[in-house]
Amino acid sequence: MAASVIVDRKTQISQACQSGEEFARIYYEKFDKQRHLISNLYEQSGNVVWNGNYVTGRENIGKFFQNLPASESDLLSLDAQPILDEFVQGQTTILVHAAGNIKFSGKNRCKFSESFLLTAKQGNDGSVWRVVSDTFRFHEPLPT
Amino acid sequence: MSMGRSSRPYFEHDDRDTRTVQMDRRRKFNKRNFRHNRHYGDEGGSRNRRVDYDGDIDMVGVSKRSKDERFKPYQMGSNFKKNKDSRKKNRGKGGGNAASSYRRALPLSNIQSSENSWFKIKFGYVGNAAVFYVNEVEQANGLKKLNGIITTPSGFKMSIYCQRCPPPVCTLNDETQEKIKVCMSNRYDVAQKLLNLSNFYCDSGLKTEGIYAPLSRFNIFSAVVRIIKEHIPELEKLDLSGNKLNRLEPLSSLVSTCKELKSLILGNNCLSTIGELNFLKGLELQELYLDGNPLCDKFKDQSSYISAVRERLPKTIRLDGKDLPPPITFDLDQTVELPKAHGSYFPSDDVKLLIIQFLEQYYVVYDSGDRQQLLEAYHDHAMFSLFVSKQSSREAGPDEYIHESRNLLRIKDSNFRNRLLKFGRLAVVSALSELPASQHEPSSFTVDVGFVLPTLMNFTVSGVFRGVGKSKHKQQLWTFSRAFVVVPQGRGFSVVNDNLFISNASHSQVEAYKLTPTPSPISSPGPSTEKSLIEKKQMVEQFMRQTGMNESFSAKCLEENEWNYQKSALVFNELNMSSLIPSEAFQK
Repeated sequence: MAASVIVDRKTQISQACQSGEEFARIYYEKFDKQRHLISNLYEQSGNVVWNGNYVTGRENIGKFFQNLPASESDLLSLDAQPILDEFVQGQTTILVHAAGNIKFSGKNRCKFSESFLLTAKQGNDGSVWRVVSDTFRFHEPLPT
Repeated sequence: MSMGRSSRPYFEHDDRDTRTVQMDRRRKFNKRNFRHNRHYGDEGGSRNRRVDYDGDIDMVGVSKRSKDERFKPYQMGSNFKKNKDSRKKNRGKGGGNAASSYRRALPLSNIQSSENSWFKIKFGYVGNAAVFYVNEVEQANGLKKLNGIITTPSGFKMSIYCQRCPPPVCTLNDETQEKIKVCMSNRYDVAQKLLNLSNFYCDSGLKTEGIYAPLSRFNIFSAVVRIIKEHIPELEKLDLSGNKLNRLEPLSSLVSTCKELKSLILGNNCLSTIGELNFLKGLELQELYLDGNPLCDKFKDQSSYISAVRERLPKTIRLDGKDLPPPITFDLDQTVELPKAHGSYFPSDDVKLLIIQFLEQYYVVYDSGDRQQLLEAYHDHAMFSLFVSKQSSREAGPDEYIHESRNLLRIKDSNFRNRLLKFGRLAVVSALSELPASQHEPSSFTVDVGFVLPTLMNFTVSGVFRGVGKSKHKQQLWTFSRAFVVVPQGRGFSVVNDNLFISNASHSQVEAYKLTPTPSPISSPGPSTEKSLIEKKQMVEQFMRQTGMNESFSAKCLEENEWNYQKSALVFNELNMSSLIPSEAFQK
């Protein structure tokens, strides 16, 4: 029994890593080039806290992102962890944490980090990952 | 030169006359005559000296002088004998030994104010030698041919040495900057909002002050741009022609300040690529002069030249004095702005209280030096990993953390990935205990709560922290972002996932947090260390201003002289006089 738990956890860990990598690749590509598709990645009741601005609900999130200036992001670093089943009642969930540089038009390139909580949901073609929460920050002092 | 040659036969072949001249000369060197000499000399040019010598000098110069004004400098330089400087490179430098008593006889201003003078740049005395710079090798060679030809009034042949050397070092101290500022304000036309800095390096006012301030030097150019930004941001026209500029980088900082700048004159400089204009992107220039720069010759035709300029400065309607067809642009209404960043986000006060309490306790322990006590904060099945990133290959990365970094973009091996993910509270806390000592900056913290369920919550903390240690390197400022997933436990919660991102602090963070290290109540590095750190920083800044050297060289110089400011300044002056400071020291 103990052995099977360990194997299970290892599988979960590598699944989190793979999904995290793929998610980050897709996310920043869509964010820069097909912003209108980005809200599809969010859960219906998902939350975004973007530099302290709170947005909830897929539709609002879509609008919020569409209103941001054009961007060019450069992902430099990434990590991902599974949330163990015992804490999420079997609802497969992973934590993805990304960091890099982002250039919004009208603003200098700057460092950012963003952490996501993704949960597996039943979609049209089997299971899909959906963002339930997303917190984004520039690594800059707050404007006074 | 012809003068030199013709004068020698005159002395050599007519023994009687030569003797007379020399004797006369010697006679003139008694004290009385010397005072005379000085007196007249102070009044003006060589004519006075001629009077004083009662025709002796006229005999040296024969009658040619009046015909050929070009040789005036030689006449005046006839006190030169020897020069003992050893710099070599790309600028000719001439020199001669001046009997110091003659200096006053030949006031510097005479030489420098003469329009035809070749003593263009930085005329001065080093020991017994008069040292000055000329721009062209030909000029230097011409001067060199006069070595041993001109006879000084004392009867000695004057020695002239020429060496190729880099342009003279231009140090910038507060005093120099103040004088440059005065000179700039003289050149500013308030009515037209025009700042005329053309041929700035030959500015007669600065020359009189003995200041050589070429805009082709990065430190000078940057200082001048800084003065513009501070004092005349309303500037509309800027003339920088004839300054041998080969780079425009310092101008880039005008983009955000001088919104009114409409006309920029860059003619007759040394700009070799059109790419230099990239530094001007964002300026709404209407008029631009580039004629007389090597880059203009690189275009096949006028239209490609115009489009290359317009690509970078789309509002240009006048180029090199010619009107351009008005540009046709697109109206995309690109006025979208980023939403303003706000502080922490908490969905409710209860959650806020809970998280703030947790973080306060957590970071007090975390920075205390004994992280074992963090055991209570973690769940039995907690997970922890950290990852770092280096923003560019130039900066020193978070080396102290790199061996624990689980950056999935770099670590591809799944066993290695597993090993770097700590599982179980003991493993987590022991990994945390291994990390370098830290000092977090609570005022930098923002907390964003992403997701709250009665059974689970996630939030992200970001901010900056400082390393703890004696060396400056150890006290580096880091930026971090830390994602927590927590589950309720008792009256508080325990951490089940902890993921920490660390990177070099951004420039704006370094600026914002450099002088306000708030020592934590537990592991304060001691007030004395902190104080001296700030002092050192201020000393370095002052030293940079005074010497014009960059930060690292300034810090190095101060450090090597045990942070004794005066001693460091003396050492700098000595080294600088002997040109022993590498040019990199002045590159910023």
